[in-house]
Amino acid sequence: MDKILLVEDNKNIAKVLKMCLTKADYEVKRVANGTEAVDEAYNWKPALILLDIKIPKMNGFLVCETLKDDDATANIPIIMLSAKAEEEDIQRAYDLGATDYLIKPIEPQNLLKKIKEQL
Amino acid sequence: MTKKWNLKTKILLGYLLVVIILVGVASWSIYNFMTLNDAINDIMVENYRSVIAAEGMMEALERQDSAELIFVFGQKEKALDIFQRNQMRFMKHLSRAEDNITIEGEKEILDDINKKYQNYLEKFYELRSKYEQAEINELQSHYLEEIMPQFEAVKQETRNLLQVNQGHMKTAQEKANSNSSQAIYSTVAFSAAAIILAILLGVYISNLILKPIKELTKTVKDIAGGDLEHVIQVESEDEIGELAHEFNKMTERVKEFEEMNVSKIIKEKNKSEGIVKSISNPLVVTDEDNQIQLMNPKAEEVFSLEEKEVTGDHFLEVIDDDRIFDLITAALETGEEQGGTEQEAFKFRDEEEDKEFYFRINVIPVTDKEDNINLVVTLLEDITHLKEVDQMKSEFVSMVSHEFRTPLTSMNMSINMLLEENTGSINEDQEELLTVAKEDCENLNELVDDLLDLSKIESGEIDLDFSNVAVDEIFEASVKPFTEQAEEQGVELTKEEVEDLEVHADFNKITWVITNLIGNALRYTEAGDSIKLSADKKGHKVHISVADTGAGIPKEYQHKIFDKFVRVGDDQDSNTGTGLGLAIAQEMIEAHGGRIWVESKVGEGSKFTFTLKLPH
Repeated sequence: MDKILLVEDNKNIAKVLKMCLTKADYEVKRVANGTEAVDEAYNWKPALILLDIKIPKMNGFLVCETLKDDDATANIPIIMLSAKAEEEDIQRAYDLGATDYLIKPIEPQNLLKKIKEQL
Repeated sequence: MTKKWNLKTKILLGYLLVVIILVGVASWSIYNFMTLNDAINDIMVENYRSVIAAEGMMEALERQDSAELIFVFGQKEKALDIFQRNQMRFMKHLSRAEDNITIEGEKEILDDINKKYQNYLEKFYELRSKYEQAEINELQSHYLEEIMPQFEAVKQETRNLLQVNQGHMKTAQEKANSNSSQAIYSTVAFSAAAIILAILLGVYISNLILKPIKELTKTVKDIAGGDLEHVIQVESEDEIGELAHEFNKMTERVKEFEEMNVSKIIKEKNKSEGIVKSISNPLVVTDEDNQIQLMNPKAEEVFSLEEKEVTGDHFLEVIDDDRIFDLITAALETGEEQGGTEQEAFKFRDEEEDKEFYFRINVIPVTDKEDNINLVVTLLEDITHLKEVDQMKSEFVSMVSHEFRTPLTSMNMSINMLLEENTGSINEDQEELLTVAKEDCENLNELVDDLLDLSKIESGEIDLDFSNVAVDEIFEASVKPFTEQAEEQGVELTKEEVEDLEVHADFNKITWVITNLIGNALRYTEAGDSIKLSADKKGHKVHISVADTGAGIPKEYQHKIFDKFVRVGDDQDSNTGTGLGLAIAQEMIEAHGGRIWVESKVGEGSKFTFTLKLPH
């Protein structure tokens, strides 16, 4: 069972996503802020990270940058989740090493398809 | 004294004086003629007769002498006859001479002649009485001794008379000569004096008449030149004096009128200046040559200028802003009020307050009576507050939209999971309800997207990626997404051949606008209708149109379809678009410096046209 770290501050979205992923037979751990996300990436060693950009403490970009800078976590694929569809944000995410960028609202089928591509 | 005489009297008086002079000259000449006539008369009457008489007497005397000789030589009868005839002639002439005594001494001479002639006659009578007794010798010697001396004496005396008269005649002639030359001289002198006097009089009288007229003319000129302080100083009380008096009265009235007007104008001027100065927005007034005429304190502050120093300067010399100047030029050319949009606001940074101010540019042409534009008022309307409110609104909309996104995401995902039956199977009714919820979720999402776009453009956050793009490419990209839908709907979607026409624009944004317009057109067309894209080069601009043969837009909606959330007529409830598409399209076109408008007739279709700039 692949482990997926879900970084999402919104309780409801997190709940829906977690259900969606659990139903698809993934082991899901959800954290609500940037620092916890970095900690869990080190300690829990997930196979993939779903990373919301607008999160407290450290934002998604910063988390991504931190993880990609560390060899221990650099290989974990990161799929960014964002409500913002701006070209520059997407570009920035890819520049920082994100694997994919999904714009909310997210279609469950589409999300699962993207995860499958990475695992 | 002449003051009270009118012009007619003056002129008549002048003529009268000349006539008097003329009469004087004529009288003087007549007098001289008469004097001359007298002198001639003197000669003719007084002396000439005496001379004739004396000559007659001489001749008669000679004949008597001859008769005496004949008598001595014996011809008694014949001699006596001749003697007596000539004695009578002598006496006749003598008496004539005596009748015509005019000269002093003439009488004495005549008396002497008479006495001596009597002596002569006595001697002849002695000869006659001796004739019968005496010898011829005795007769001869009597003649020679007695008669001859007497004859000579009479003759001498008669000659005397002749000489006296001739002498007097000569004197009289000289006198007449001198009289006539004197008359010539005096007449010439008198005439000359009269001419001079007449000229002087003429000059005096014409001066008398013309001087006040000249004075009047000069003053009238002064007054016509605007110097209303001038009063005509004409002292005469004739017609000219009256005219001058009336003129002065008129000038006084004009002056009063003008003073009234001037004070009115000054009042109006002060009023308008007061209004201009008290306007808290910057205001600049320029004339038809773009020279600065007026500027209020706020404008001085914003442009860091002093009104006094720049009055009369060319606008661009002192205010280096092409946008404002372009609007002024447009106002001068078209005579219509020009207004910049909020996007084109004039930005002013107040260093002291460390704050930026925004002004909307309004340019109002002012026309004179002949409808020529002589002034242009440029008013910069302070829209900083509006901008701030707008900014706040945009930020608010942006924030709200983002906040909407998150719950929409979870709702959407939840519905999707349910519909995909990830959580177990659902029945048909449940699926229908969930589909309704899903569709409205999507609509809400679309609305949020549009609101975000609009708030971005309105806050000026949008970045336009300008390049020279082919219109045909834009058309191609805009039509492509709709070919399938149009075919299904039975609507003919065509684009005009535009060859290599290019525009200076952001490809994606313009494509978005045309796409939006085609989407709208498809919404209001049915099978058999057509939608046509066309482009036209007009001056420096390109007009791009999307025309359809659909339902058309009622007139009352045409002017507000570009407003937010406006839907036409009963379209209100149907599930079509967000109502923001045209608002965004308008914002985008205006961000390009263009304009968008619609021409439409119900039942015939609509034509949306917008303008873009040609490549530089």
